[in-house]
Amino acid sequence: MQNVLSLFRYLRFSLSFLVLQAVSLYFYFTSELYPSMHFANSTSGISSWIIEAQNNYTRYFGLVHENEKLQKSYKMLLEISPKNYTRLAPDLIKINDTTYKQTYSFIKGDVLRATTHKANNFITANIGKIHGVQRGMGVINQDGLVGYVYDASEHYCLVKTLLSENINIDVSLNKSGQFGLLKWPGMKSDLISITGIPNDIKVEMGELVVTRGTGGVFPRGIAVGRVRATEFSEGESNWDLRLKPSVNFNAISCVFIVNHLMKEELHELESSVE
Amino acid sequence: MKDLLLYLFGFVLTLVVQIFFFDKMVLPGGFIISYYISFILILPFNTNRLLLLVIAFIMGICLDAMNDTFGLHASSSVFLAWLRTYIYRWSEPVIGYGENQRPNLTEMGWNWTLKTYTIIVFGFYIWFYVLSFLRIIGTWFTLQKILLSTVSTLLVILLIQVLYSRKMNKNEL
Repeated sequence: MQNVLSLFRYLRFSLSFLVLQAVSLYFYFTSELYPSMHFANSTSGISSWIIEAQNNYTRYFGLVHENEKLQKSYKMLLEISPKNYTRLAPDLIKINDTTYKQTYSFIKGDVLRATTHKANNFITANIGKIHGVQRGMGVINQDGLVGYVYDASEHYCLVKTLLSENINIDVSLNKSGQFGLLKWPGMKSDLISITGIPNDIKVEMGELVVTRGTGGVFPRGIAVGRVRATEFSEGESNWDLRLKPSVNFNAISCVFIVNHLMKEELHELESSVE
Repeated sequence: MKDLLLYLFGFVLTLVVQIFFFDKMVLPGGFIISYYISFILILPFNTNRLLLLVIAFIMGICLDAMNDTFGLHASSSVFLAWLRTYIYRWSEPVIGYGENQRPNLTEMGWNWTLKTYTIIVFGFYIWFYVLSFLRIIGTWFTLQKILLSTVSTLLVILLIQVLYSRKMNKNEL
């Protein structure tokens, strides 16, 4: 017994090193699988408070740019509004359209913090569960696809951006409709890649890539990026497409969370097959 | 008691500087400056080794909470504290460290500081980047980031020690 105790005394430094390492590495490697039980993150407690306080000062710097964008989208909306159309045939009456039903609603949030140079890049936004945000919802902004909700607390949410490992979002080429899988090769914040598009399909430089709209996470046709380079991947019959994302992640200031209104219905139907 | 308060203040100050200044910097090449490790480096030689690990762990968690890295900083700084005890023991002079000597530039001189700090900071970044980036971007870019981060962090730590030491011996420079 005495020997065992003295052995423990002798090894206590190495043992405590191993225990602390095991704890932190456990959290690090399982954060992907069980995000609800992980370490504190920027949506919780004092860190969200610090980040929000910081943002109160820094948000004004992007205001001019934001205003221009707002005016642009207002102009676009004005142009399509019915007031701007002259009635050509006076005998036509507009009836309430019942063939369409709203499928998606959007929740607007301000970006409190965004990173672009880490291995997994996140955005913290000031909307949370009480605004209806749930884990797994899609996130877009006025320029295009941003990512999806990774975790949400009462008043804040954490968005995993396209600049992350294993992002794997279904996308398709705008012209041909051919679909592939979105990935991030790491390294740069203005470079994403797409795999799974067969190389007998002709791809033009600058061609728009949009979301495919499967799974009810994103609406169909949200801009993802434009093709910047096409490469043959070694030993495969697929293109390795390089894209410039539509969203500038270094200057992102507002996001829209996508809420699919008929999500349960869709899941119910899809799960009945499996 | 006075020392304890001073170190507590140093802990908070280091965290504040890291979170509000160094974490806000976007550097070309996407490397980082983890200035906070200098707090673990300058704790006195006779600090309890277990306490050192715990301090490093708490510091790491604080940064993980701010950076959404889920334990990456905690793991790396615990490794740093572990490495520190062995490197400091290895580089101990024959007569041993003095009773009131602290592991900083002012008291240990350039030779000792450069040698030990370089090894420890390099080891820290190897651990950090291998954990976070190796799976994604491959060996060459990881190595590039490790080297850039090590050099710039060392520069920052030493520069701050040169600027803010109270009684710098001019002959030593």
